[in-house]
Amino acid sequence: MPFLQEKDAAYIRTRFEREMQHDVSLEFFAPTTSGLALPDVGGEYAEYTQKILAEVATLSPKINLTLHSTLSEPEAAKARGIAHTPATAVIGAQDYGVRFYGMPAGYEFATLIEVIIAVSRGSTTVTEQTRAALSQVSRDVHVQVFVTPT
Amino acid sequence: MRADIVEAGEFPELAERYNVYAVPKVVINDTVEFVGAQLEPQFLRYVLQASSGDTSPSPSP
Repeated sequence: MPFLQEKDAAYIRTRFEREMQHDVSLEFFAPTTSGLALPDVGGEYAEYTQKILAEVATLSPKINLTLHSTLSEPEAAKARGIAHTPATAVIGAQDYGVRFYGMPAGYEFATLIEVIIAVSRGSTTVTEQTRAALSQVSRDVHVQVFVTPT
Repeated sequence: MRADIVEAGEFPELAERYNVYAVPKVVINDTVEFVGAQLEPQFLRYVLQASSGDTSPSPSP
């Protein structure tokens, strides 16, 4: 059974069509063996996350989903700075550093859609003043936003 | 600059480490933190505070 209802899928498909620019790669990382998530390491969440991402990827030809096992491809995870699993890196024309840890469900599904569009466009609605202030920051900044699906 | 969106329920050890009792909770560079949505200028202030290395407690919003 699909995760999205047809009218929601249609709405998102239209938004992607109108608003996406560059291709976006969803790179999913989980500790899987031969495509199966291990049951005792967040396996259920990983399985659902993978299903959600697969469905989102069907909504635009500009979205590509790649699956990586942190067990067989630890280097790929390291290259993307993946700290925990399940993880999803949202990569556009460049890597803007956006990662989802856990399942993008509930309210966070809307966040995923907005992030895909922002990454695809390589821009956000942040004001010029804020951009100017941030451009002066020389140190690395790591923002962690803790959320729940409800 | 990098941004992680962390599902608190799936990562209880992280939620505990950062004392996440309410969401959304934002933690910047492990030093500056706040709960709830903020207007952009205030959010920027927190980012600048974290990037300046000032680890004194965050001002109340």
